[in-house]
Amino acid sequence: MSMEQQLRESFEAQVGSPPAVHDLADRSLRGVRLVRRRRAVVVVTAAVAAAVAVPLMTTARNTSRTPAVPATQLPATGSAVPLPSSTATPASSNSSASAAATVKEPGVDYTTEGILRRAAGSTAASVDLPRHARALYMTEQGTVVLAKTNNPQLDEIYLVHPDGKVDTIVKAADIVGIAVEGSRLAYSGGPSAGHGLPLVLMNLATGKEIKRLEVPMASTPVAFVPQGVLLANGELGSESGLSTWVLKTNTYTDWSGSGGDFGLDALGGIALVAEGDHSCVAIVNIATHQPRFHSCLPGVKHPEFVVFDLLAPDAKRYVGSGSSSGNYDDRWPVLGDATTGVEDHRLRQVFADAGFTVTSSVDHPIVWEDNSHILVNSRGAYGEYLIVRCDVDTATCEEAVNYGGSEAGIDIMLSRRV
Amino acid sequence: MATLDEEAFREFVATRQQSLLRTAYLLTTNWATAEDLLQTALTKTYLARHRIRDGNAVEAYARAAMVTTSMSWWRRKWHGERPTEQLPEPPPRQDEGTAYDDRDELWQHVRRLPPRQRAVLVLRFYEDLSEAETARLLGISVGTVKSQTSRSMQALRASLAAAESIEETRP
Repeated sequence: MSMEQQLRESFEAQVGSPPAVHDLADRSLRGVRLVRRRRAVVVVTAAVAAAVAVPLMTTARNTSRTPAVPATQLPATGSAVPLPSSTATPASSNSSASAAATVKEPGVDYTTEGILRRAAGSTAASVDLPRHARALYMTEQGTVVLAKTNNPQLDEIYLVHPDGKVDTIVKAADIVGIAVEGSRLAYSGGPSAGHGLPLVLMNLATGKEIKRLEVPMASTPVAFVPQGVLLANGELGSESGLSTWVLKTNTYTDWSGSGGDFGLDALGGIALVAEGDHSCVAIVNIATHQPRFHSCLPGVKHPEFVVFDLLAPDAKRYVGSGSSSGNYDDRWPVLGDATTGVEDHRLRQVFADAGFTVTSSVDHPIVWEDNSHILVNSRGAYGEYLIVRCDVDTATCEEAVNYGGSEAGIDIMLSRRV
Repeated sequence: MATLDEEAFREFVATRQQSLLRTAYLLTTNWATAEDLLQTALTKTYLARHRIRDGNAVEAYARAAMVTTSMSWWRRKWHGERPTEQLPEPPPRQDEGTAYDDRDELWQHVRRLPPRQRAVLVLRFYEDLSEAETARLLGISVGTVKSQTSRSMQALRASLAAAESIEETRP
């Protein structure tokens, strides 16, 4: 039997007994109404904000005692208008202009509409990216960007140096993920020699390929670990797993025996792993493959951990996001202690009160800004695009950037420090 | 269906949801995500109904929306949740101890393919679309559809051969 025929039969066999679906039309129509309501609210809010913002900005120009709004907090183009602050914290409950003046800029690079806004320390304050980013990683050499090219088949990794110079590191098909550490970059994708799917290790400083290994299944580099590169195999789901690309021997070690585990992050010899149905995370010792503890969000109906960020350098804390309602529009940041497994949910109320949600559709929705602050890629109560800064020790939050915006076209993406 | 009003939309969903859900499952490999994908695609379809001039093209639009949305979720590594009031029924489980037959084994390898390659296979060999139709739906060239198909087949053959050789070396 030909492979084509086998595939046809396999597909038919898999979908022979689909589960019953209830109220699909109703749910889809509710989605339609939600989209329309958001569009209407954004249009009305933008008009109101424009009426408020113009006099405020005029006053700011005419009154030297009133500090100006930092450039990074204004829209990159004239199409969007910053909205009034909607945070619950006292510092940001004042008018948007005064709140903006007291809030410091994000301490990581981030993008809005294809423009890279640099954190302090870079020579170039902003850089027009040649192609829109899918993921950003801040390194000592500059910011590594994973992007799509104009060719839908081709992905690209490029490096934006501190002075704004852009160097292409590699262009290859189907780059599904990258890991960066120091001057080393690992990615999966590109042409295969016929043995499987390629993993490639490169030197960021020289742009040279160092090692290559072909593996039998789709594997996404998660992070560099002492043994090499931690890989998440397959996609999030029952067939996902974990493995290590051992760089010393250039071999591939599959070590997730139970199946269904998915690598989220790794640092200092430990890995954060989403287990089985992804309602729980585990801290796993990479050397022994033994879990140290399991931690699960209480009362979660449809749990979903998006992306976790372990805090460097000691990996004692991690952040992720979760939802107990089953609604992806209702997520809040979760702080976890990587030594005890205890999770802190105080930020949930802060987010709920302010009408914030964690934006889930980007690679790094939550990143550490420093040892006690996280930056959250967020949407406000009116659908506006925000970067929210939270102090994880005091469980308070403030708007760091309010970009306004609507359903289409605008996006904020945070970079992760590696 | 001349124009897609709410009543016609409900009728369309009621009659075609199972068929659409099957395709969604093959694209996502997970029934819960498939239902999310289908719901999102149907929402997009209804929002775009004024642009769908031919009433008979509603299903084609919904299928195209599923494919493009699934690719978009994958590109952004979206693993998010969608609102749902009722849990989907779990997929039928195999009895423990029952070995996968060849088709199941093949499916396990198909699931591990990159989503775009899997989408090409689903459109070509489940939906029975031509290379040109597949290319149009995915927004890629016919040449790319050919190369992706060939590459996927090559990867599947290699995976199956590797699995077979491991099986043979087992004591």
